[in-house]
Amino acid sequence: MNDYYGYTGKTLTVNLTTGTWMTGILPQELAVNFLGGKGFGAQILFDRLNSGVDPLSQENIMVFATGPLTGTPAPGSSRTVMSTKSPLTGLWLDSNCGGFFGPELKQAGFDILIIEGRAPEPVYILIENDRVEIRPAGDLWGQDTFKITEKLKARHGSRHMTACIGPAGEKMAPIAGIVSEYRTFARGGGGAVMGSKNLKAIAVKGNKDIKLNDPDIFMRVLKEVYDRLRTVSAIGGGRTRYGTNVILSSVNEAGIHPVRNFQKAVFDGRGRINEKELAEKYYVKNRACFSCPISCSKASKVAAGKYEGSFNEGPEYENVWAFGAQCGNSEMGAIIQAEYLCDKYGIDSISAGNITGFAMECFEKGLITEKEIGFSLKFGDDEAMLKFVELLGRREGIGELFSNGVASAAEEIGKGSGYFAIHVKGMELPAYDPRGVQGMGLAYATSDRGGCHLRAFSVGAEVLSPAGKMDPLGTDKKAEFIKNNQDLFAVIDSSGLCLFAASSMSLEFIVKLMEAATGIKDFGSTEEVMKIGERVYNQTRMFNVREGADRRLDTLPGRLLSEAMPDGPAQGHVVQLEPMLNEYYQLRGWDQKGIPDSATLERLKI
Amino acid sequence: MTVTVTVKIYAYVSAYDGPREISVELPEDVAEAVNQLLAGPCSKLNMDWGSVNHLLINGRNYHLAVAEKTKLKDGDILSFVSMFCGG
Repeated sequence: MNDYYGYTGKTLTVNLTTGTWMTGILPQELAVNFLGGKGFGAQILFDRLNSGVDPLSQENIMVFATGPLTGTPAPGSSRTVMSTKSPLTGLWLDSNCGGFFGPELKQAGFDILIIEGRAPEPVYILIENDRVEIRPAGDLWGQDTFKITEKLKARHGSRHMTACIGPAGEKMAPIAGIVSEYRTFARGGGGAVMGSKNLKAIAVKGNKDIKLNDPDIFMRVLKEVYDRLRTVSAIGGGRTRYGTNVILSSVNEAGIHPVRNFQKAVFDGRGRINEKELAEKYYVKNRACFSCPISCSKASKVAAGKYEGSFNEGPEYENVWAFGAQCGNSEMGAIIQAEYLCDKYGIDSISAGNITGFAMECFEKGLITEKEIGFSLKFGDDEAMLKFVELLGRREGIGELFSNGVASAAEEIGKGSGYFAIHVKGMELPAYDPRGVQGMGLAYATSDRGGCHLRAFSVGAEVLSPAGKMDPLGTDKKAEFIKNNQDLFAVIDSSGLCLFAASSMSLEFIVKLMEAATGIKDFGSTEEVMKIGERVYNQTRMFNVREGADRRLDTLPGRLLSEAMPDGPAQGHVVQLEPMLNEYYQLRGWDQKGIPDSATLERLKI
Repeated sequence: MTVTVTVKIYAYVSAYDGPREISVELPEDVAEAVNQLLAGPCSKLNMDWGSVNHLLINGRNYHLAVAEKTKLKDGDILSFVSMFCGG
C-alpha cells in the first residue's frame, strides 16, 4: 500500500519535553489490522507504554486518531478518538468526540497526532497543514474553555478547530475532559492528562483533500445509505426534533432511569422534565457535527424563571439524567446551567452528575457534614447542586476530594459509602439502571474503560425485544449480544463514524464505504471487519491485564448486585452478573479469571 | 371482559399530532387489545416500521406480555416508546 486512500498516510508526533515534532508514515499493518481511531490508540499505547506508568507523569502519551471515514462525505464522519492511560481508572481510556476537530486534523494531512512528554511551561499546539508550532500559553492558562476557544479563533481564524482544557484539566482533576467546539472528549480524565503535560490547547486548520480510492462507488453507496436513512425517519426525525432526549420518557417508563444515586428507577419529576417540554420551551437551535444528517445536538436557552438567560449546547439525555433524576432535581433551568458549568470548567458531565448524587446521599446519611461542604446538599436542592458542580469544576474545597471520582472519594470517606459509589473500575456509571436491563450490567462490568454505556448498548434490544427475543430481566442470550456489540462498537469507534449515524445505516453499508474509501479488500467484508473489532477489544483488554486487571474488576457496585429494585417493572430484581460473566468469558476465549488465552491471542494475531 | 387502561404516546413519532395520553376501554387479552387499539384510537401509529415493537405494557415488552399470556387489568399503562439508541 504505497498510496493511501481514505487515510492521509501520515502521523504527527509532538514531544512537549523537547519542544520538537516529527512526521511519520502511517504503518500499513497498523491500518489493515487496527482500522483507525480506537484501534490505532489500542495498538500504539500497548506498544509505547510500560505497565505501571503514572497517567499524570510525562511518560504517559496521548493519541488523537481519526479513522478511514473521518472527514469523508459519509454521514456522521466527524469522529476522533483520544486514547491514553486514564487517571480516573489507572487503566485503558479511549474518549471519543464529534464536531470538526478530526476532519480538520485529516485535512491538515494527519491520521494520528501523538503527544509525548511535558512542556516546562504552559503551551498550545498550532497545526496549519504541514506547519506545526508549539506556542506559549501563559496568557491562556487559568481561563475557561469558552474563552480559550474564542481567543484562539480570534488569534488564528474562525476556521481553526480547537481542543482545549479548562481549569479542571489544569488542576489535573481525574474527571476533566477536553472540550472541542462545544463537544467534549469527556470521559476518563483526558483533560487531566493534557493538564499534566502543560498543554492548554490544540488548534488545527487544514485544506488538503482526503483522497478516496473509488469516488464513484463511494458516492453510489452513499446514495443507498441516505435512501436507507430516509426510511428510518422515525429514528432520525425523532432525534432531530428532540435530540438525544428522544428516549427520556421511554427510559423512565421502562423503569431503568436511575433516581437519587440509583436508589430507584422511576423518576416522579418526569412531569416537568421530558423531551416535549425541552423541545418546546428550551431548544433554540439545532446543531450538527461534520457531515451529519441527524443534528442530534441542540442549543438551549432558559427564557424565564430563576435561571433565565442560561444558555448552552445541550442538554444531552445523559446530562438531563445526571443533573435531573440522579440529583432528584426537576428544575430544567438548573440542568442547563449545570451542563454549562461542566463545559466551562471542562469536566465530564456524566461523572459530575453521578458524583453530585453520590455526595448528596453521603450528606443525607450523615457521612459528610454541612460544615465540610460549606452548605446543605440535599437531593432535589437545585441551587446546592450548582454550587457543588462549581466546586468540582474549580477543584476547590470539598470539590477537590470529589473531583477524584466516587471510587476515590468513597475510599476517603469510608463508613460503608463504597456500597453506593456507583462506578465500574473507577468510572462513574451513566443513565441506565442495569437491574432492569441485565445485559447492561454485563456491558458495564466488562467495558474496557470502566462504567460506560458506549462499549455495548443492549437497552433497545432488551427493552423493546423485537419478537420477544430477550427478556430484559433475564440473563439468557445477554453474553453473546454484549460480546458482539462490543466488537461492533470497536469497529465503529475505529472507523471515524458516529455511533448514532452508524447504527442507523448498518454494518453492511459501513464496510462498503470503507472499502470504497480505502481500496482495502478486507474492509469490504463484515466478517473480517468484525474480527478487527474483536482484535481491538482484546488489545485493550491486554492493556488492562498488563496493569493488573482481571475478573475482580469486572464487577458492579454493591447496590446493584444486592439491593433489589424498589419500584417499576424491575421491582425485586438485582443484577445477576456471575452467570453472564462466565458465559461471556467463554465466548471471548478468556479464562475464568478474564485473561485472554493464548489460542485467542494467536487467532487474533495479537 | 373489558378493562380501562391508559395509553401514552411518547416522542418517537415526531410527526404525530394526536393526543399523547388517552384513557380507553379494551379487551383484557393483550394481543386482541393491541389489535383493537391500532385499528382504532391509535391507528395513526400503525406505521410500517411496526408499532408493537415499540410498545411496553407496564414497562414490559409487548411480545413478552403476549408470550406470558398476560391479562390486562384496570389502570394498566400501555406506552408507545421511542427507539432506545443511546443518549
